This record gives sequence, structure tokens and C-alpha cells, in this order.
Amino acid sequence: MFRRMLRLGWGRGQDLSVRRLSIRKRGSTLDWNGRVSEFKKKIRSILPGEDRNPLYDTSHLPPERCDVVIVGGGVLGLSVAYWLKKLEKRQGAIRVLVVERDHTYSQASTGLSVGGIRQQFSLPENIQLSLFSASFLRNINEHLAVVDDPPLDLKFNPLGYLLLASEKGAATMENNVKVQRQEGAKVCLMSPEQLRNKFPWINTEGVALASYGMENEGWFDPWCLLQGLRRKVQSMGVFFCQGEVTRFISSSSSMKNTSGEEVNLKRIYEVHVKMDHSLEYQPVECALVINAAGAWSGQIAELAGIGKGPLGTLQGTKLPVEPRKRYVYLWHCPQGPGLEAPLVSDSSGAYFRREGLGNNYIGGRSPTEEEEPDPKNLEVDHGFFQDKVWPPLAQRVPAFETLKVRSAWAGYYDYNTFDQNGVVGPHPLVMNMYFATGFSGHGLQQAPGVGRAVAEMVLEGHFQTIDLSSFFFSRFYLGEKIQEHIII
Amino acid sequence: QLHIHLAQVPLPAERGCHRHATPEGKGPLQDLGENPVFQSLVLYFHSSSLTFSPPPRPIWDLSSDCSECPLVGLERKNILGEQSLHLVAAIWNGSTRSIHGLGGAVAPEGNQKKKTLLQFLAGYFYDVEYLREYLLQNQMLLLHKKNRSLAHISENYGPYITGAFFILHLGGAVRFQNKEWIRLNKRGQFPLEFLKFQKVPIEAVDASGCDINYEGLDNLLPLKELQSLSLQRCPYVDDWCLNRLYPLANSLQELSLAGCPRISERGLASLHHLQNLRRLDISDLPAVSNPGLTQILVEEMLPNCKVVGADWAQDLKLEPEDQPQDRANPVPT
Repeated sequence: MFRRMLRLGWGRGQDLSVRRLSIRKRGSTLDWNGRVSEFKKKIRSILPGEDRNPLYDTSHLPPERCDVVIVGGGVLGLSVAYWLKKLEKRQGAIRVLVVERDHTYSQASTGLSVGGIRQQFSLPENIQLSLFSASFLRNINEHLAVVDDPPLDLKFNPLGYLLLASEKGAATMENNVKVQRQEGAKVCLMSPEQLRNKFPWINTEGVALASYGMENEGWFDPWCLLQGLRRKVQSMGVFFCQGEVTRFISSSSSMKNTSGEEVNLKRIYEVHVKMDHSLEYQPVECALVINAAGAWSGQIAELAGIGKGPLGTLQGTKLPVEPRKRYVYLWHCPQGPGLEAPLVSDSSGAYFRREGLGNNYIGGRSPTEEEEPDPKNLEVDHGFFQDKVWPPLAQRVPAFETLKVRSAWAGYYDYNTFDQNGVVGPHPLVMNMYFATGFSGHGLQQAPGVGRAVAEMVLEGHFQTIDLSSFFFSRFYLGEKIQEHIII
Repeated sequence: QLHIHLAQVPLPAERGCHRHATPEGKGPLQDLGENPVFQSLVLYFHSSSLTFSPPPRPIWDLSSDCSECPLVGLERKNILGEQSLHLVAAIWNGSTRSIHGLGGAVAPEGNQKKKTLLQFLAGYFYDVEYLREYLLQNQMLLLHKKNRSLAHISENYGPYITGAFFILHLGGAVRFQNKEWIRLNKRGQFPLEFLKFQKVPIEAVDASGCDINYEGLDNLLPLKELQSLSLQRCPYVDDWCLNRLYPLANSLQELSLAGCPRISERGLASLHHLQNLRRLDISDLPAVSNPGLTQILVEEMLPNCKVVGADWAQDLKLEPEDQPQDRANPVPT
């Protein structure tokens, strides 16, 4: 009681520093409001103590200053937060704030994904990322252990991916497998004959070659990884906030590059975080912003002024990441493949995997550019299954001719329209915005590796574990595509 | 279960924020009680978690959450079990408390309340919490050290000696072809005579109860003539390990996984590589959700193999009060 009285008494002295709900105008001339806020700032810097406010409760707002603000609390954002805290030199050295728009993750790609992990990529970087992630997931209860909390049950199904190639794609597949083996992935090639012996339920018509992952491939529960990361990150002292980033306040300075052209270098110094369901917002002073907003990271980049400039210049180069809607269908087929069924991806692009023990299967297909659905909402088009998914699957697995669709849902890919690969590292002009986005559907399985890479970039200034310098933003300006061929 | 899973999450979050604010009361409940904003937040989480479950993942595996964690040495809250226990207690209130089966079933609830001193102190001091985290990490490091790859021995003595040394070091037993079993003696030592069997392949390994994990398997996989492998009651053998056994597919005929707490039906599915298997023991696996169904599916997957264990009637376990009746039934007929 005495302490509370004392606090109230002390608080009166700080009354000037009370932040009220008011929108500050930033005009060219300092008006009354501006002067008052300047004055408040000065007082606040003089007075000792932390940002405590006895009259106005601000505990629901994010902290006023942070070192790193991570936009997007999905699995990528959380993984960056985890590695930042893990690799920091001294405990509590970095203040990290994660801003997530929707705490139920109802539209987040993480929870809606199929949760596969594979090493069968065509790019060495992607293979390395996936191998790193596999070892992370294998030891998930060591990495994400929280004292007194129950261990995580990742529900990993180690059944592998089975990719099928037609006559046309056989040579590419052989090359890809060579790269994968060089990187240390355990992938084997199978002829149609071997395939028939191993999986008698597959119709090998039109299959010239198949590649099958023996180790570290399969699928897991993405929700478990998300919750595990959240729990761990919270225990490490990362701040969470449910809100939306509405504005970046940045300073810019004009500079000349070596060829004499003028470029605008920008630096973000404040992020406005609007609280959920209210007009209230909190300006957060920060040193770094990490854009891990997934399918919406293009919008966030635009907010920071990326892509606003004449076409063809670095300033005018947009972040080519946009949301793409993908359907996932769940069906029941009593005669379907048994316990040993891997995730099968047909040469047509349709895929399926087993779900649980009750002869249920999950599958879908990536639509072509022309038939791309409208990504505004997450409604499911059941006609797409009838016309595009079912025919190739029934042709590949004859048992699927009789099946019953139980349910379906849709989720977003953070689709990189340029080369279907991730964007990692800082922006060349907006110097303190870092990207961890654009993975076009394999972001979940690579999140642990990407998080580590971004954290190393932030803390050390260069990549240490996996060299991802080919994923820099500048490739969009230079036009250097690093194409990933295996996108499911 | 999902509901509680989600609702638990926001609570530890506030720890970080309240670190400076309330040094005298660290418990999240105390903070929540004072603060109406947090109360509404918690309420919000409660309601949101209720409405959340249907859209993304239609199937939630309910039963696999009840496993014990040998690594941390803590017991998970068996939420479903607890609820059913309460129901039973309501019906059997009073005189029947002393029934043996019931007493045994109630015991875990009592265990939850009992805490070690460190656990108790960690609720009040962050330093103790860090200490416990450090101890936990140390424990894991030790496990990794035990399971490290023995490449230097392998260079000098070949894969068979390496495998034998590794297993004996962990406390298991090995048998070289046409030889006797080699085990630890009573003083925990093993004879080094086997060093002369460099060219003799190992045909059987008994690693029951050993702390072998995924990395430790590195030392076993080069044993191409291994016919029988027993991993009974190994606390660190999990689904990832089973996925790794495929290099032994040509020779392995007998595999025993009985009593491994971390093996689930998902890992058993990956045994389809081992087509030469003749005998597979999968009895008493607590993490397998439907032992009966799983056994049938595994039998389908490995047609030449005799799958022992998982009694199909295990699924049909009845409530305690029904059991006596059922037992009584067969007697008159």
C-alpha cells in the first residue's frame, strides 16, 4: 500500500511525460502539438526510470523502442527471432519485437500448409537449407526445450517424397539427383520396374524415372513447430504484439554512385504499429526491420518505399512476392495405398500423401499461370479437384478412381513471381530492412535454416552456416534468375 | 486438448514484460488478476482457441500428447485422462476409494503436485530457471558425447570392432558370427579379446536399455551382416532412427522395438524398407495411438514378417467398473 502511494506521488512528477491518444501532425512548421511532443521527449530523456505510467495503462502496447522489429509472426518470423536471441553475445542484448496481425493464424500460410519437408530441390542452397532444417527438426526438443513445459510432438512421418518424371523430364531429374547427392541428401533413383515392385499400387504408365528420398524427408505438423517456436521465443524474452504495421518513418539521403547517378539511401527509424481493432498506434523506434510477412511482404516492402521510383532503376524494383491461392483437398479412399505410401508428386504436378491411419489422403495441385485463382479470399473451388487434380491422380493410382472428398481448404503461397525462390538479406537502398520471404511454398520446411541465415546477417554481417548470397534482393534489379525447378 | 494447448501459450509471454515491473510476484496469474487488459486477452485466447480448430487441419491426433518425457524427467499433464478420472471419482465417491486399480490410476495426479526443490525455486527466481536450463543442456550434451561417431577406431580396426565397442561402451551386448555373446561383466567392464575379430562380422546386437540415439546409429549402420537387432526400451530411439535402418535391409531378420517410449506408428511405417524382416516386436509402445490397427497395417506392409506384440484387445480396454463384469462373463459360458 505504502509503495503504491509512493508510486502515485512519484508519478505526479512524471505527468508531463504522459502520452495521450493523439495523432501527431508532422508539418513543415512545428505547431503547438509538435512543440509539446518535443518537450515531452526531452523531459523523458532527462527523468530517470523506465517507461512507467501510473495513470494510463500502456501494457497492451508494444514497447517504445526495440532493436529489431520483425513484421510477421509466422514460422519464418519466429525462427528469425529465435536465432537472433540464440546467437546474441550476451543474454538480453537484443530487444526483439514480433508484430503479428492475426494471433489465431487463421490465414497464415504456416498452419494451412501440408507440412512437407524434402531435399529434392534443384538448387544447392535449397538442399542445404532443407538438410539444416531436418537436423533442427530432429533435435527440436533440444533447440526448443522450455523448462517445465512438455516436450513437443512434431508428428514427423519419415516416409519420403516420390517424384515421378516423364520421358521429357528424366534427364533433368537425373541432374537434380546428382546435385542432391553431392550436397549430402539421401536420394535414390528408381526405374518404373523397381517402382512397380516397391509400390504395386502405382500405375507406371508414362513414368520414365522416379526419385525417392530415403532419409530426412516426409511431413510433419506445422502447427506444432509454430507453437514450439512461439513458446521458446517467449521464454527467451521476445516481445509479442498483435497489430499491424501501417507506416514506416524513414530518413533519406541523396548519394551518388560510381557512375554518377543519384540514388536515395533510406533508413527506417520508426515503425508505426496499429493495434488490433482500434485506432490506437504505437511508434516503435528500431534499428532494424525484418520483413517476414509471407504472402503480404510485397505490401510491407511498398510501405517502406521499395519499388516507388522510375522503372528499370534499383529504386523502382519491386519485391516480386504476391499471394497465390493453393487448394488442399482431403479425401477418403478405402482401397488406397497403405502405410508405406510416401508423398507422391506426379509429373503433372498433382501430389498426394496419406493422412492418419484411416485411409484418408491429402493432395492438390499447383494451377498454371492462366488458371490462377483470385487470391482475395480463401474460398475453395471444388471444380478444380474434379477437373484438374482427380484425373491425373486416378490415372497414376487406379485405386483413386473411387474416392470421396471429405473436406478442403485453401492457403497462401508467398509466391515469388521472378524465380520462385526466397529473398534473404538486406535491401540495397532501404538499408535496414531485411527480407526473409518469397519461398513460394517451401518456406515452412526451410524456416529454421533461413532464420539462422538472417540472424547471422544481422549480427555478423555475413552468412556463416549456409551461404545464401544468391538470394539477395539485388538479383531482381540485375535480372539474374536462379530458377528452382522443383516447385510443388 | 487443443483448447488448453493454445490457452497455455500467452501466459509465459508476459514473463518477459513483467520482469522489471513486479519483482515480488512472478506468477502469471497474479499479474493477470490485477490487470483487466490481460484478463480480456486471456478470455480472447480462450474464445479464439475454441473457434479455431476446424479449418486448417481437420484431423487432430488426440492421444499422442499423453506420453512421458524421459529426457526432461517431467510428466506431461494427461488432460484427457484427468477428466475421465474425475468422472470416475464422481461415480465411485466414498466407499470404493480403496479399489486397487483406481488407486493406481489416481497416483499420477498426486505426482504432479509433488515438485523437486529446484522446480519450486524456479518458480520464484530466474537464476534457478537458468540453472535448470543449463543442467538440461548439459544432460543433452552428455548424450551426444556418448553417441558420437567413432571414426578414429573405425579407421584402425574396421566397422565390426567399432560397432562392438560402441555397443559395449553403452552397456549392450554383441555377438560375432559363430561366437558367444559378449557382455559387460559385473564390474561394468568388458573383455577386449574381441579386438582380434576384425574380419568376423557381427550378426546380433542387443542394445536394450541403451542411450543410443540417431547419431549413434552411425556406428551400427556399416554392419552389413547384422541379422538381429534389439532396441528394447531405448529411451532415445525415435521415428527418425527407424527411418535410418534401411542400409541394413539386406540382412536384418529380427528387430525388436518393444517398450521404446518415442516410437510411434509414423516411424513403424518407414520400416517398409526392411523387406527381409522375419520377426518384428512392437509390443508395449506407449506413443502408438492405435496399437491394434497399427499392428494390422504393419502386417499388411510386411507380409513375410511375424509381427509380435500389440495385443489387438489392447484397444478395447474398458472403464474400471466394467472390467469385473467382463471378466465374469466368460466363466458361466
